[in-house]
Amino acid sequence: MTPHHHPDASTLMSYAAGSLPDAIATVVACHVSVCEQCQEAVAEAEQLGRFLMEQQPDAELSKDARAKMLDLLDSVEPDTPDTEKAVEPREANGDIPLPLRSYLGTSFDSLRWKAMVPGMKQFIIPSTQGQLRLLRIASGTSMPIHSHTGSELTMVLKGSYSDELGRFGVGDVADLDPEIQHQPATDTHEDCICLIATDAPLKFTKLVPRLLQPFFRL
Amino acid sequence: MHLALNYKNMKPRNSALLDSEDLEQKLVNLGKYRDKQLFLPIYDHFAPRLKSHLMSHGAHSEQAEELVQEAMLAVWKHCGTFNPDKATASTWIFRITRNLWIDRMRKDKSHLLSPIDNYPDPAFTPSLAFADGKILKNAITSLPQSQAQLVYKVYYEGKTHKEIADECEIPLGSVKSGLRLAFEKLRKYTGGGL
Repeated sequence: MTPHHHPDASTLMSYAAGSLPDAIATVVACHVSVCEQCQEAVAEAEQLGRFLMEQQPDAELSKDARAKMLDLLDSVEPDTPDTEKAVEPREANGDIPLPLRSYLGTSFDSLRWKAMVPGMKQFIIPSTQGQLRLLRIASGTSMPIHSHTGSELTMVLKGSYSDELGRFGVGDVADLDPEIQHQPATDTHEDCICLIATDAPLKFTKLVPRLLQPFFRL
Repeated sequence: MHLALNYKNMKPRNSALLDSEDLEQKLVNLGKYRDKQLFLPIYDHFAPRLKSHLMSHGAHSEQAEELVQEAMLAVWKHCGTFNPDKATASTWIFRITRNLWIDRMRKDKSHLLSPIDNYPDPAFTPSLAFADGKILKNAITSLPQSQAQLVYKVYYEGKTHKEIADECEIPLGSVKSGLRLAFEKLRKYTGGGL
């Protein structure tokens, strides 16, 4: 899979620095896990982070920190390159991206989806900063037209959709600024499953969806 | 604050004791021999910096120490998989700490990210991985002040784009484009790859 739409360079940079809201960072991690081009950009942005980390003044650690650390070492079984591979399968089979697999398992169908409106189901993934959810949009369905008060990062995990910005297939990410209004619609016979992170609630432009907003926690 | 000013406030490093290659070698040996005596110099080198790095990102002292411990434990656990051809020791440890930090921010403490990125083996060698500190420092000081400020807020203060936009009273789009330009410039300055 070679994605065609990527997160903005500013998003990758903040991801590398560890400065994205955790909801958005998770979507970036999922995209990066399947996108070589972005792995490279993140690796570069990390160099800056590691350089700046090295320039940090030394903070004083508590007196017993070193002794505690040494005790802890006995509590873990070190990995060898072989055990690492056995524990964390690196091959990318299954629709669920690697970073989410330990949390969601391997199949979308085994999740407890909650119906929102006809044709749309969601599954909320807890996060602290921002909101993270899976959205399952039945084929032939459009989302209500909406814009955002903050950033929205969407990754397609299954199927595809089209909107004013283009066509988005598996692995693609839409990195949206607040000023963008869009109305995504599925464009195949298959359900479209997206991972969506927002750092502020979505803002629907039509009256009815706005009333529904608190209801569906959108 | 302009990044260039900030360097003046930095303590001289004791990194003369442990240069980058030395650290790589120590980490590789640690993976081979699993000796606490090999682990300690690595711990002593990184733990105090990681702690201040985490605190500048908003962790309080106790939380930062806990995370440092967790990160260094991951180093001990996973150092057998460290590959010096793919990353420097400090990049590898920076990445582990970053992933743990992102996870720590999560409400329910369920770990989504592994401390070790389990990407398929990349087909590239990040050129910047081996760019030396002097080049990077010059690259950063060559940025226009407004862009350097954005980079500072993202990397040192751990601020999100929205927080920066609110704080500096500029549109979110300007934060993003400023960072984008800074990244491009840094990449160019350091010769293709950042």
